[in-house]
Amino acid sequence: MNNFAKIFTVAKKEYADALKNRVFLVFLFFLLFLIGVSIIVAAFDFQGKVAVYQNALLKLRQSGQVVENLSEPQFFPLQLLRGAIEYLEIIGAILAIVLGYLSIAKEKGNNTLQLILTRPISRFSVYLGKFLGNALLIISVSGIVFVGITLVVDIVGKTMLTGSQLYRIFLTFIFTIIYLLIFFSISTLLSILLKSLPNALIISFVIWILFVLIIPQIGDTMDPDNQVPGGLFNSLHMVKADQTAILAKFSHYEKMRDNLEQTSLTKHYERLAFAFLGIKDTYNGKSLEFIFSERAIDGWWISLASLLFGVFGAVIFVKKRVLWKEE
Amino acid sequence: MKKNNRFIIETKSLTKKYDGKAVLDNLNLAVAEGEIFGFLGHNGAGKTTTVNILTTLLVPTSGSAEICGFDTVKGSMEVKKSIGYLPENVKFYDNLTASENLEYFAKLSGIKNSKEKVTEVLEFIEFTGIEHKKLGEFSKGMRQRIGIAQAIMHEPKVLFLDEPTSGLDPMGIKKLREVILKLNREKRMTIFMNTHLLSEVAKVCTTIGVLNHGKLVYKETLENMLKRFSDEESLEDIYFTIGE
Repeated sequence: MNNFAKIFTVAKKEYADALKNRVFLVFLFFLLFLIGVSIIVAAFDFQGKVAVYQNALLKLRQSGQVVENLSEPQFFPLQLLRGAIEYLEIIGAILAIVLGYLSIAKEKGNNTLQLILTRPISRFSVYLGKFLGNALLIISVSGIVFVGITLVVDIVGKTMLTGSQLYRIFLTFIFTIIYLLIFFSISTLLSILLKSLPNALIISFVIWILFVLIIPQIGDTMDPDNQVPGGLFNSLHMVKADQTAILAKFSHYEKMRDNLEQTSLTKHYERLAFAFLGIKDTYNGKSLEFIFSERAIDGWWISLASLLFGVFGAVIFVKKRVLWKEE
Repeated sequence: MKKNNRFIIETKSLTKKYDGKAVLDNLNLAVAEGEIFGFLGHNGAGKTTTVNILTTLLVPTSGSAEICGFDTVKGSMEVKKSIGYLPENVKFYDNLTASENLEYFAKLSGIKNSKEKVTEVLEFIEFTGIEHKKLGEFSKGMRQRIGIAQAIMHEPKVLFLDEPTSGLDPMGIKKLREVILKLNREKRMTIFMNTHLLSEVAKVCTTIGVLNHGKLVYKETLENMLKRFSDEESLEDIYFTIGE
């Protein structure tokens, strides 16, 4: 049996183990349930808006008015994915942390890591097997989520998604996997690095709270447009040009706020996903070339972080001699 | 196995230090092929550290260790192919059946026909009829026998057992002892056993070594040891005399 087959054996076991783990299944259920509810509600709302428009057209036609000259309203079905992206940011990251912790902690606690490491398989291959198995699980979960929400938007929302819109969903799916792998790798790394497994879990969640909740929350609080529910500018019925002119006067403040938000990897993922899906108004209807030129930095940040934490975990797993509970 | 090797396990000036403190201090140890070697010592004497180095899990601070002529650091992959290991208090995967647990380790050991091998090994250790039971339902004694099964799956030349009888009831100890003797007799497997239980040493081992504060203070065949200390009333008395 070659080395690849051994890596595959480890990966297959990781995948199967997670699917039997109750903690993982509970968080998976919550994630799918919340995303399901959010997307179905949004899709019905979307369908309702389309129906209102079509009824209005029908009534105008019935009253003998010419409707062909009226400009068509714009609907943005990809914006329905906002809730799903936010749940992936929050609960998806928890799911990834749980996976990373279980991958190492159970083996450490059971002393099975010692058994595995005395088999003729290199430490790197063991790590790679564990990484691949869990990465495959993250891909599967994200795949189910994105296929599911695409179908709901398509069927419940009664909107025919274009090839370009499907491609944007696909890009978001890819960067969701990369984003979730960051949290998986952080949790794995800490479980390898720290003697105390509860501490590894606690620190993973502290990082999660920082990236997912605290930094974005501070950023939102500092946003001048966020001081009134629904947006300050919207409530004042201010046109975009005036908004931009006002914000220009606060450019230093805005830059500081932006820099703070950029320290959160979650915010990078959100900005990229919201740009792809046109959830952020600035990018709605814009070409992918434009989005990439503006938001490539977010893609680079999360890709780099994912790679760095993954590689760092591999190095520690290979180099750290005592990976198990010391007697 | 490399040729021209007198000993299947050999350490030369093996030293392991943690934070400058020597846990193993210039350990020179040699175990011949086919022996059942009982490695005795009080808690913290360095027995587990020795086994961890011999099984490639730890790297020595200085000195060297060889298994079947292969250095445990430079030739770790060859060493891994030659050894089986059962650590103390290993729990395995409770959510898997006995077969699934064993097949997993068989595959990691590079065995292609893992299913057939599992059946063969369980028959050899006379532990059949439990293949489809989950490990969570197993007693400590049953787990230890599964532990032995996983360790001999790839027919290693040397089997390392760390406190194998720890926590077992008398029946569990008896069954495990029978398996160890059978492995040595029928498979010609060299067995290196860390233990506290002097009674077990007397029943199973052919040679004993006593480790005290990281140093090998005594090594002799059991037969010679009993002759030499014939004045002592029990093995415990011999052990304490050696320790002094």
